Amino acid sequence: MNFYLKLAWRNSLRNKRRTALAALAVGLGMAGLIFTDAISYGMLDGLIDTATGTFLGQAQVHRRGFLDTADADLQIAGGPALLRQLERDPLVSAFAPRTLSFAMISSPANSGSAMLYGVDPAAERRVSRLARAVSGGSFLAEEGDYIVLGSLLAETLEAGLGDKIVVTAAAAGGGELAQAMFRVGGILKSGSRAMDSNMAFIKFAKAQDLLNLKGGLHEIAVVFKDPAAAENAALPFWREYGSGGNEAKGWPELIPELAASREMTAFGILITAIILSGIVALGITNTLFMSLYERMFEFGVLRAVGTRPARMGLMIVSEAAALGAISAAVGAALGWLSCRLVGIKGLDYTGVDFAGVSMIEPIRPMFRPEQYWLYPAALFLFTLIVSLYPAVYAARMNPVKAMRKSL
Amino acid sequence: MLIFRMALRNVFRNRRRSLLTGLMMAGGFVLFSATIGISEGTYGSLIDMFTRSRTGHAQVHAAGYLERPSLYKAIKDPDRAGRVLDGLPEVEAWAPRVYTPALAFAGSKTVGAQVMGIDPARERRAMRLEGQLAGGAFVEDVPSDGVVISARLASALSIKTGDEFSLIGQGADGSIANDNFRVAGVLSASGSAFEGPWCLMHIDKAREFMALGSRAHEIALVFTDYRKAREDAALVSAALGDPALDAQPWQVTEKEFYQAMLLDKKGGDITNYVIMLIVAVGVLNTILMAVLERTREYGVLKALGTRPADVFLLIMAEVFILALIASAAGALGALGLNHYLANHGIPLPNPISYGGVKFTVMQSAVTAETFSRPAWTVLLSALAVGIFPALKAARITPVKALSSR
Amino acid sequence: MWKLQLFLAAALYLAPALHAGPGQSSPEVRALLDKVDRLYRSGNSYAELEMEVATPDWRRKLVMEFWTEGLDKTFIRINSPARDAGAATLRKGTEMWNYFPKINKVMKVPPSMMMGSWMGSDFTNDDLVKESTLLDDYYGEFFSPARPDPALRHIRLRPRAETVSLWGAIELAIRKDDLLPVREDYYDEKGRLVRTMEFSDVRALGGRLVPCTMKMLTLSKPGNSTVIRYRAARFDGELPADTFTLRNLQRRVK
Repeated sequence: MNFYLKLAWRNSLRNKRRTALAALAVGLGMAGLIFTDAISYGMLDGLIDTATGTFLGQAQVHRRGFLDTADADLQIAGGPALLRQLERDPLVSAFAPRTLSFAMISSPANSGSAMLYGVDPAAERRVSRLARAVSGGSFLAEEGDYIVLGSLLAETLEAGLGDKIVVTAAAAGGGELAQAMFRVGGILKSGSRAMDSNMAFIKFAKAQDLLNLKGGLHEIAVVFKDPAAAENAALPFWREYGSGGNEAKGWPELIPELAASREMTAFGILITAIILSGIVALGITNTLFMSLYERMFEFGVLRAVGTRPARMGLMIVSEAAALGAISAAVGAALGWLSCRLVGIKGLDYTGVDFAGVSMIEPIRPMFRPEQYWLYPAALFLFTLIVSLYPAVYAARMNPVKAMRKSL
Repeated sequence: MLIFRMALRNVFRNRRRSLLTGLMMAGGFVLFSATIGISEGTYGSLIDMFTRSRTGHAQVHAAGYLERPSLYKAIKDPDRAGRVLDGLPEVEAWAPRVYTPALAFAGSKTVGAQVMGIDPARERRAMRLEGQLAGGAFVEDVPSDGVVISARLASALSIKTGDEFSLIGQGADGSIANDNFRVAGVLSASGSAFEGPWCLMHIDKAREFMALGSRAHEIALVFTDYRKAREDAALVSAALGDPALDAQPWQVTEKEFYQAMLLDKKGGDITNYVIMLIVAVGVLNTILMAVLERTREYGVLKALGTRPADVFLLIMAEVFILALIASAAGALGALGLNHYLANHGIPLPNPISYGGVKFTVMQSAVTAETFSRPAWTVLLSALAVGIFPALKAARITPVKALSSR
Repeated sequence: MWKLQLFLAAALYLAPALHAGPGQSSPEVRALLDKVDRLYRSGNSYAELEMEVATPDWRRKLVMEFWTEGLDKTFIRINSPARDAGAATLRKGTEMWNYFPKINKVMKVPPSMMMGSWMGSDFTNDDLVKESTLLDDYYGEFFSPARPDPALRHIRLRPRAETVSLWGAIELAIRKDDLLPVREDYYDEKGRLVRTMEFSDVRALGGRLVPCTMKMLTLSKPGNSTVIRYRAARFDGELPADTFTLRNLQRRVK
């Protein structure tokens, strides 16, 4: 075995230029796959992060049936206890309690209906980035009864910072209408039409008061320490918080379009891998055959001298293995380099909307371990497989014919 | 001319090498073409299925309706618009619709609903609405009290096929619209583009309900070629010639879907560039090797007195001819492959749901781009790559060349 | 939302008694508002009225009958136009029901729909059930406008600190001789006139002298107006025992 490896290595080095070029071409193929993989998952990651990080959270807990009707009475069963449990939960990085109800927002000039959220600004800061989208004013940072309105809603109401707003909502326990007065503390410009025309925010405690919730809440947004947890349907988390009349849903359930994107991405990479391997196969075969034909005479001599067909084949395969190893190394290096370079500035996708949220941050290639062990291993194996054809060809060679041939 | 004949002969003289090199280029061509084809085909079928599940390739509205929908912003004479549309060859089918929000109640449950009046016969020609039915029957071709509701509405009101419920809304004349209806059918929960609390009924019944007269809120259009949606929508606008009407392509009416696709496509574009690069490098590899290994031969040529420029041209001509033949072969192969994939597609391991439509295969498409881009890539990279060794060979000193391996 | 409240307060009196805050309104103002207030106070009432609503898209005239008892019972039946005749609304406490003869069903108005419009009009269901606390929650003072009309007195009302109100100020113009309101102007906090209500057609109604026509204009929505005209009214009379029942909703009368 050792003999053949040494032979293979030396043979590869004999025509450095050819080996180098081949390794470059094949390595580039793998680097391309690494890069594509990194960008695709980076993009997906960016999408998921934008969709969940703007306001939704990676998972949400509600009372079963709440999302259909937004009935104030459908509070999370055992809400305060769940909050305490979340505090202690090792999987959870942060969570934010919220109230949610239909409300009529009125100004002197007009009135409009909206989804009224009661939020805790301190908790929200660790779960959502909505506070950053507030242009003008603050996200309920000041003392007092303030309300933050979506920019399009504020436009309809002809309301600006500091103006008086009256909120009317159906309270829990009887459906009586509750009213309260607020002053506009901030205007929200999220870039999403749906959010800016339908949302209004007040402080959590004030909302509980207004809606007569007696300490209850309607929604908990959760962020995990490991983002992948949200996609793990097998976690006990979902059962823990989704029992007793509640339901706990991760973003794949809350935004099915994103889950679809994820599957498409994985499939797309598979197709790309197949295509790239086609090109790589051609490159390797080409190189091996070129090298073979060039040394026809040599091979003829080897055979004439008594080398068995199997060993001839083995020689080719070892050469291919050497080529494969070098290519894998080159490819990994190139792949890593390209990811690093593009990762400096990232790809700019600002302004594109997806699932109701705007992309604000550039896409960066994402590192995944598979890129550096799975793909090189696959390349190496593939190289070996592809080399079988020229190997068989070499094994079956007729020594006399071979020695007569020349390029 | 001599050079060209020599180049041609050289190519065929060394069949094995030419074959290997050519195969590499042709192979790269086919694979690249397949990538483009699959990408186009998948997006194409995605768009087609999505737009034909509810929204249409384009929509006609009264000006301003899209930004702020309102019961009162209606197309005053949809029949006239329909006649204009009938006369346009680009329009394959059109269907008028009316919309209004209403309150639905059954028993003790009251829920907000969205009423949509449709013309079932026209919808059958334009859209694939009926396929989204999960149970019961579709809206009848004549006005009746039978309606089709979405799964969400059915579950919110706890009603099923055969049950009765009432709708209350605002009439366009200020009156209170109210009437009783019967559930004729229920739409699928996951396989339908109607995710909200929809209630579909015959358009004339809906018009009567909301006192809309003969007006309509929307005319959904289906073109013969969805890829020309933008141009055709502009065409329709011009043909209608009414400043109070707007015709907008799906890229505008379904802005979010379009942008999600653009995002996806951008990612795909990157993959395309990567593949293009790799094909180019593959070509580079083979051509370079092919040329460099004939250094001796070129040395002989120069020793015999061939001018450097001619050597250069000779090599370039060989490269070009080879690339051309390879491209031709590749094109044939690509045509075959894409055609097959366009009709049969690559089955997806798990059906993917997108916008309420289920996808089970990834299809390819045969378009001009599936030929032009790979052709350009292969030809240009071959030529570009050939320059370096061609120059080198042209400048070589015969002594050096002849003494090399 | 506040428009109908004032309508009802003025015409049918659903508001509790007025008491100005200590030291906030002068005794004279208090007396004046008290008189106005008591003008419309009654244990129960019955009225026939027309409501004409105009919007840029349609005009409509509803003719209806209106019964009230105490502060928390209201029954309304629409008699005209024909398309809506027979529709009725019952409110008891915080609950509300609608009846539509065409579908022959009684619908309980869910809390979320309380903010929706009542019978297609400019008023919300909520307007109908809310007790007007306008006079309760404001304090007033006399003022003289730029060109004072010798026949009128002017009061400016401002909301108290704890009052939930959108208005910066409401200005009332009241006739000196019979203390009947002539107009009400609603200003936002920035001093812009947003809404105006005009009272006219002073006649005897149910034995009292009251303005029988009220016209409401919202300046931010030109083309929208609502006019209420009282045809007849009876105060503190005998009402049929089953007036405020669900059964009454479905009764087809006339």
